[in-house]
Amino acid sequence: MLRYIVRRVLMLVPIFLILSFITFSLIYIVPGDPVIFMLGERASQEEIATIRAALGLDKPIHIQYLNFLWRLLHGDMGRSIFTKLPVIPYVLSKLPATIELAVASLLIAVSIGIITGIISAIKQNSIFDEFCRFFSLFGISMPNFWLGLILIYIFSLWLRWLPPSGSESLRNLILPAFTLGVSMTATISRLTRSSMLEVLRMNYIVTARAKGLRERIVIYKHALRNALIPVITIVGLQFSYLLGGAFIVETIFAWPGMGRLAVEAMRQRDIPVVQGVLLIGTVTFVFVNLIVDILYMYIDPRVRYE
Amino acid sequence: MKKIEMSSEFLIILRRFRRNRLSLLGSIIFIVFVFFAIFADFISPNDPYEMHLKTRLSGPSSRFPLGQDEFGRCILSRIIYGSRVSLTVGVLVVLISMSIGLSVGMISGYFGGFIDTICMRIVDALLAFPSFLLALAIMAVLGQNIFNVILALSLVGWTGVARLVRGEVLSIRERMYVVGAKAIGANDFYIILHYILPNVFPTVIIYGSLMMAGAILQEAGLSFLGMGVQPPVPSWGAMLSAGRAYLRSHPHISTFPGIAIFLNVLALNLIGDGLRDALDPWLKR
Repeated sequence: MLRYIVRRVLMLVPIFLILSFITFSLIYIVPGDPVIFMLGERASQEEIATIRAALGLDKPIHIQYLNFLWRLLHGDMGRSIFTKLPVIPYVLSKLPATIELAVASLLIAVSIGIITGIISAIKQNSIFDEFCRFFSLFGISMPNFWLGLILIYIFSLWLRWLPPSGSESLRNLILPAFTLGVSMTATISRLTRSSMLEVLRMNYIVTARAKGLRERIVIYKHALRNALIPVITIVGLQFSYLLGGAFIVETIFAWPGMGRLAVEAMRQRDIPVVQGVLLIGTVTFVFVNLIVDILYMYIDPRVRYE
Repeated sequence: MKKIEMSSEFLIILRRFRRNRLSLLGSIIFIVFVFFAIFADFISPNDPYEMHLKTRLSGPSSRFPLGQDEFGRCILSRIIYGSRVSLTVGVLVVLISMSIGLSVGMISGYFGGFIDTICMRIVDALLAFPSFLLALAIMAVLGQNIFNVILALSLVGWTGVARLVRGEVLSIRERMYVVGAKAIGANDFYIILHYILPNVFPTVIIYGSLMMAGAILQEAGLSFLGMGVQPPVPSWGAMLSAGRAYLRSHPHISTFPGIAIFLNVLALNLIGDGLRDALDPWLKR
C-alpha cells in the first residue's frame, strides 16, 4: 500500500521536470522580443533593461532554465510585470476561490450524476431513462458560457432570485457552480448508467439475487461498488475540464478566482503571471489525480496487487 | 474478392447508422452547417461586415432575419460566415491531431521499448496540463488569430489520440493475423499500414467526431474570452461574448450564436454516438 503510494509519487518527478520546462519555454515562443511584447513598443530603454535583467533574459538559455528551476524550488517565480506582486503568493491567493467553485460543481455533478445514472440503469428504457439520456446529450453539447448567460437572464434579470456576479455569500455560488457542473453531471450520469447496465448483467449479480438478497442490497452493495470504478477515473480526469471551464465561468460571473486573474494577465500579456497560473493549475490537477489513484486502491483492491 | 467484403461490411455499418434516428438527425444538422460554410457567399442575406449604425441592436426583421448586432451587422449572415471559422478549426484540429496522434501511437505501441517509454513520458506530461488552460496560455503568448487557435488546440489534442491508439495497438499486435504476417516475412511498415491501421480506424473515427465537437467548443470558448479569433472576423464565441453587454435589453444578440454552437456540437455528439453503436461489434471483434 505505502509502497504503491511512494512509487506513484516518485513517478511525478519526471513529469514535474517536463511541466516546469514547458512553462519556462512559454516566454520563448513569443514572436519577437518577449520584453517588448509585454511592455509595448513605447517602453523606454531603461524599463526594457530592468525587466530583461529581472527575468534573467540576458543569460544563456540553459542557465536561465536552471535558475528558473532553482527559484521555483524556493517558491519563487518572479514578479508580475504590472502589479509587481510576487507571482506564486499572488496566484495562490486566488486558488481557494477557484477550488471552492470547482468543489461545489463537483458535488452537484457527482450527486445528481450518480443518482440519475443508477435510476436510469435500473429502470432502463422508462420515461425517466429517456429524459435523463436527453438531458445528458443536452448537457454535453451546451457551451457553458452560453448556459451561464441564460441562467443569469432567467434567475438574476428576470426572476431576480440570485445575484449575477460577486462572491459575498453562498447565494453567489449557486449559478456559477451549476453552470460549471452541468456538463460534468451529464458525463457522469451517462457513464454511471452504461457501467451499471454492464455490471447488472454479471453472474455474481444473478447469484446475489438467486440466494435471495433484497434488491436494494444487490444494487447498492454488489453492483454499485463495481460500477463506480470507471466513474471515479472520469471524475479525476474531468477535474481538468473543471479547471478549464472555471476560467470561462469566473469571467462571466466575476468570481474572484485564478481563472479571472489568468484571463486578465493574458490580456495584459503579463507572462510571469500566466506561467504561474499554468504551473499552479497543472500541479493542482496532478495532485487531484494522485488522490484519485489512491482512492482507487480502497475501492478496487485489484489495483494493489498489480 | 477483398473489395466486395469491405463494401458489404461498410454497408452493414451504414445501414445500422441510418437506423439510428438521432444520429441521422445529427448528420443532417451537421451537413447544413457544412453547406453554410461552403456556400456562405451565396446564401447569406447580407454582408457580414457591413454596419448599419442607425438600426443597431434591432430585433429580427424581413431584411435581417435574426436581427442586428451592436454595430448593426446582420446576425444571420455573421452566423453563416461564423460556421466557416468553426468548421475550419474543427476539421483542421482533428486532422492535425489525428495525423500526429496516429503516427506516435502506432509507432509507440508497435515497437515498444525505449521509443515507447520516451513517447509516453512526453504524452503523460502534456496530458498533465489541463488542456484548455494550456491552449489559453499558448494563445496568450503566440498572439490571437485563427492559425494560432488551430495550432494551440492541435498541440493539446494529439496526446489523447496517441494514448488511445497506443492502447489499441498493444492488443492488436498480439493477434494471430499480425503474428502470421510477421511469420511470412512482411516488414514492419507493411504490417502497420495494412494490418494495424485498418483495425484502429473504427476507434479513431469515433474519437475524431467527438474531438471535433470538443475543438469547436474550445474555439468558441477561446474567442469568448477574447483569446481566439479576433473581431471583426465573425466567430460564434466572440459574437456571444459581445452580446453579454446587451443581455438585459437585447438578448437576441447572444441567443442566436449560442444556438448555433449548441446545434453544431450536439450534431457531432449525435454522430459520434451513432458511429459508436454502428461500429461496436467491429470493435469487440
